[in-house]
Amino acid sequence: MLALWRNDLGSALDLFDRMRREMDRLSWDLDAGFTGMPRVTLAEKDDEIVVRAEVPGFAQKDLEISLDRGVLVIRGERKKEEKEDRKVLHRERGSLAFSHSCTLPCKVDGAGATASLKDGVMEIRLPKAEEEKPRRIAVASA
Amino acid sequence: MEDIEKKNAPEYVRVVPAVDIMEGDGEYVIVADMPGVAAGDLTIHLDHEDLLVEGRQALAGDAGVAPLMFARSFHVPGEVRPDGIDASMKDGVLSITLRKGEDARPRRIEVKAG
Repeated sequence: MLALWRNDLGSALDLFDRMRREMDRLSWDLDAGFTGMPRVTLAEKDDEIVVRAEVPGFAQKDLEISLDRGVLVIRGERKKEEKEDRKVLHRERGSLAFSHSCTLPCKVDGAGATASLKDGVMEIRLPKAEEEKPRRIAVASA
Repeated sequence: MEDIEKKNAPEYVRVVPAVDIMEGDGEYVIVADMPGVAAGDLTIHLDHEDLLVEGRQALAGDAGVAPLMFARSFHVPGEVRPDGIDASMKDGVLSITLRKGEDARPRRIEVKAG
């Protein structure tokens, strides 16, 4: 009877110790690195340039794209969405604003450019200017 | 699970997502950047006190980049109720709310007179 009582007390103390340790907060593994920088890639196709930018947390209205003399600039600014009464225990996520510019490899038709946003990834498609497109020369039949 | 990983392993680049962790009244909130991951391509698994989060990007089509697989694990305090974990995905950002249970709060244990 006494032994049982001791066991109960022992596990109760264990529990308290666990609780105290765990109340310390969440822990996380940091064995692999991350950059925190948005990944922007540019791919050249036959008739268009495809720019893909990872912009998590940015809505369509938070993003601005401009094209000036062959330089594409993507700007983003998002609002701080955290609630005031929350205490930040750990912070890694990137800033609320960014600007990224890239020089395009060829002339493009800015008026024909399109951009789409899905799940925090923006894809910009810029048709190449007519003179940049590969030319097919038709062989006339005799 | 392992079969799926093996099948997809050569296609994905495994990365650790950037996270913020907040503590509010009665809850913890984990926010993770996972661009390109749709809600359906995300798995969250609670194994005892380890919360495992894994999300795969949709294949980037012709954009010419290798898709990423975001993976990270968290040690969850015992005070979190296993049934009190919710997750939502918006604009490539994952939010996980972990509610603390009543029974983990400091309490007084009555001593009965023998």
